Amino acid sequence: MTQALTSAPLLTTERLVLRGPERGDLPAFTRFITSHPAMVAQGETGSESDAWFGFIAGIGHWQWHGFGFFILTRHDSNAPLGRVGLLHHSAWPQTELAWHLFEGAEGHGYATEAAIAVRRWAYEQHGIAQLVSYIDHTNTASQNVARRLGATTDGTRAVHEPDAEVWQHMSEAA
Amino acid sequence: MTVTFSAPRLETERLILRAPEIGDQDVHAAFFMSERAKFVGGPTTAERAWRLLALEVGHWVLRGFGRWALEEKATGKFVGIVGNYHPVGFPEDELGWDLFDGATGKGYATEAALAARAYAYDTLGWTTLTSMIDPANTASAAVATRLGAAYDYDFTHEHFGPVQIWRHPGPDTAQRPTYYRSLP
Repeated sequence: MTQALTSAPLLTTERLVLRGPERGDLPAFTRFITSHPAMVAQGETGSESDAWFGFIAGIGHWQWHGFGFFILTRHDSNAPLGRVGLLHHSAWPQTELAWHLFEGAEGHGYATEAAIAVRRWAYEQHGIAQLVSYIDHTNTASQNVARRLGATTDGTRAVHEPDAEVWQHMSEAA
Repeated sequence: MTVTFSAPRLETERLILRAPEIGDQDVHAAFFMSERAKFVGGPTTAERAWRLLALEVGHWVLRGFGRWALEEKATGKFVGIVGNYHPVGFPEDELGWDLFDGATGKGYATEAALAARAYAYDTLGWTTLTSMIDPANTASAAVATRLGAAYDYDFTHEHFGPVQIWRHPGPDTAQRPTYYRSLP
């Protein structure tokens, strides 16, 4: 069966293709959840089955909302570099713009480049007026991405995740 | 239309088995945030309950089978989740059932599980089925017994801890539902 897991469109940027999750992404995603140094550092690693459940929850998210995490790849390879996308859990007041890069893909500006494209898609295709990002107060790498995206925070913590600060994005595409 | 998958719809005497929908979230969360969910990974937060419902849909999409939301025909209410399940970390194909508050004691779990098992054997072509049951969950063991299943072996699940694996009768001998059909 090669039927797509989601209705995600293809978004392209200068260096990247953003596509929906595919079965073949599961090993890289599992490595990210189980052993990525940033996940280890924040004490947020999970098991292989946690990763699998996270992966299928992400598919359900796309099915219901029509948006979710895109997988980032380079133009010349289908290998997954990380995830950037829109998340909206029921208990959240706003939609989150979120990103994480898999090991080895950091330091190239990929998260920023992809997040700009996803943010524009959110505004144009889904009419989402205001996006936020929930970022752990110690996660400086992610805070730097948020700043490059022009987001700001006054230090307010997320209700569902007390270690995370709420970053507000500009209300229209950069 | 954002939903691109479809689950078969089944009908039993008193229930409709259909795909879980986003509108099910409040009832689903109320169960998984309650003490009654203690044998199935709860009680948990609203945040995690939402993920638990979303992943039921992802399971259907990735595996081509999954667990149905049970709708009570008489009221249209979402009363539980029953179906065929095989997450990473489970030892074998599983038939599982969760009934929400107010829906227990009516034989709904048995009625729906008989249909889900018939679907697994007669439509998916499976040859065996198990159910993972917490040793303290006597209500669930009673359902398994009514279905003709019997304790087979012990297993330690990474989240649920020590559990019992019950095995159902195979396709040749398993009881079939008295009434069950696929809906268009």
